[in-house]
Amino acid sequence: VSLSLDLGPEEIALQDSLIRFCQRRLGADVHTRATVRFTRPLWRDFAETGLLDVAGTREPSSVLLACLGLEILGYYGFPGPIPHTIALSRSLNERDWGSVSSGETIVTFGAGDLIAWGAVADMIAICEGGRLFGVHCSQRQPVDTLGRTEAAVTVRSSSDDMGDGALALAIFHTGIAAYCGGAARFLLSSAAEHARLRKQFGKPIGEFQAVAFPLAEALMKLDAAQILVRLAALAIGQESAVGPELAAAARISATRASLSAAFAVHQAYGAFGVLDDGPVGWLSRRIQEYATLEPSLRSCQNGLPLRVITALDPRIAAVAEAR
Amino acid sequence: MEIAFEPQEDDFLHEVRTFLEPWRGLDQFLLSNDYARLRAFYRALGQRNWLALSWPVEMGGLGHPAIYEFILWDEMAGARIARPPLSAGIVAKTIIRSGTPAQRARWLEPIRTAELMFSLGYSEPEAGSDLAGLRTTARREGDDYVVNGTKIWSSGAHDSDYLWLLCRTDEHSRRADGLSLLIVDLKSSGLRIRPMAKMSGNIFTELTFDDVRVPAEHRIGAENGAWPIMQVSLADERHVQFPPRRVRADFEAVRSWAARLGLDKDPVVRDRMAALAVDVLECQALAMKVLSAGQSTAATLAAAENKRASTDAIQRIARAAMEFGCPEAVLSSSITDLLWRQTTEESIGGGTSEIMTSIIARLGLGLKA
Repeated sequence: VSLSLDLGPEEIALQDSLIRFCQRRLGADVHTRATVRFTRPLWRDFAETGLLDVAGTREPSSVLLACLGLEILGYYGFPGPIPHTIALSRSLNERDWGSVSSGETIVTFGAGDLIAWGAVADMIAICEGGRLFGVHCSQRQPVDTLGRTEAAVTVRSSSDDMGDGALALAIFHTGIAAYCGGAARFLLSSAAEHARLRKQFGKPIGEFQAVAFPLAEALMKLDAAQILVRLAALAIGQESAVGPELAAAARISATRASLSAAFAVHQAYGAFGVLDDGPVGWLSRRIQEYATLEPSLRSCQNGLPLRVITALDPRIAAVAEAR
Repeated sequence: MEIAFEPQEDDFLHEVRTFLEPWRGLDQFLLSNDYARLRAFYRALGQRNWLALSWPVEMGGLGHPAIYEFILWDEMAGARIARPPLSAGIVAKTIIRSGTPAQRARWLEPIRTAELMFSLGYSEPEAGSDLAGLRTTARREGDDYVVNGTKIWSSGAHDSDYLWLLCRTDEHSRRADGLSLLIVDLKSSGLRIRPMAKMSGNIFTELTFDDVRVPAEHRIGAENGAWPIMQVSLADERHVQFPPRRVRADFEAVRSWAARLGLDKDPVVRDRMAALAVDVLECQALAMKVLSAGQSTAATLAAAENKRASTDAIQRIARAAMEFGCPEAVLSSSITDLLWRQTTEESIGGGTSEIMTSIIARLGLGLKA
């Protein structure tokens, strides 16, 4: 088959190394805890995996590789502003990126005043009116949020114009989509296992279509979204003209698929599914927060030009054009 | 990941588009019961040997990979001209794989040139999704089988030449074990065909068999051996089961209709259309997954996802148009009315959405629902 969505050896190796890292650093019971707290030592260890270095190479494949990594980090609910940092991988200058990719400087990215990971970041960048700004804050008030992202409400004192924000925004949308897709995939696999083992009325609950079908529908949506995310990442990395539109579509697709999966999983787990320290709650909360915070799903939808449809066909013109 | 076509595949795509131009307007999906023109169209395909794109060269085909069939029928679906004929797909590929040399010599050439068209005789009044429960019998008498029973929901049998019949040849066997495949002449004595209009305007038929005699040499594969043959034949057609350009064509139709009426300025409509645009892309992504998976088990899962997602999407597109606050949407002459009526059947034919979802649950999540 000339057309293949299979991952290559380099891509598989990257995902495998991150799986090993997450299992070693977060522990086998990571998914049973209420949340994984963000710490600087944890972030420095993450930087040593080299994913940020890969993202910063600006090679055509770098955005795809970063997103493949984010799928794994989302699966394990790894904390910290990872999609946010990767969003800036092609926008920060070499010196700043060096400090960020080594784990010394923590940067986050957002829009508006409520910034995820804003309480722990050394640098904050925002996208406003299509421009990217580095923000200096006179106040940063830490706030608790649904997704436990160590967020802050910021009061800006000044900002530095860092240039056009379209690329950072496109990478951000794709990265958030990859992370949420990974998180939802864990939730779904966990719920499927629960549905195979949990018995009611004398048989596994997964044999009831009322339980199985919403989970199956969630898988279908996640599979479609995952392909769109990877295609968007490829297109952005190759600087295709339709990269931003594909990124918006990927964010919409992955966000609604992840939320739909999370809600189906809550229901399949029954009362277990609403425990705050249970197997579902904290990842579901993270997915919802990432769907809600600016730059948001809503802004994608408003900004998604319908020409994205005519720009694409099953071969995805973005890549053909780059070739 | 490799997501671009090879240059020769792109060349074929352009050749198909050029070929299709004079045929635009023939619409097997929404409007047409013009079977004479449809046959002429299939014959034109046959003249190019495009009905045998993936057949082996020694069987008269072009020996191309399955992706060529996808390109052809994806373009057809986008233009809503025609669906793949059963004869050149399931029927011919089964004969190639399981037929005798004499059967190949008898059937393949007229199928390849579209001289013969087939209809499918699977469903019965009491056997729909649960096909193994079918009751139509074929009793062996000398050199013939004698067929009795009823088939239903066969598309276009009133205008086809032969029926690809799945029937029970061993009444004592349980379920799938006693089934055989027969080719039945639709002009046979004792066979009655009753057309039934569908909501979409196309035609279903019901076929009643009253001691219909079928030559034993028209049995394809072993007696009582149809079930495994059918499983393989389903895999043959996955890549053309629901081409993504059909979804896109419906979306474009509603978008053009909304623009013509000025509805596209309404932010609510724009918002809805943007969400539907992502649906279209998701269907394209899943179609790529089907192609990428080839003939593996993953292809069965991908095909089920593609069919379920695509039929959901075209129904959402058609039904959205009815919610844009525009009364013209219900006019019988409107595309929105046609789409609303036609898309309803797509989640039923070719494997219902419930069956597709069961496959996804089983193969994707290990749930036997």
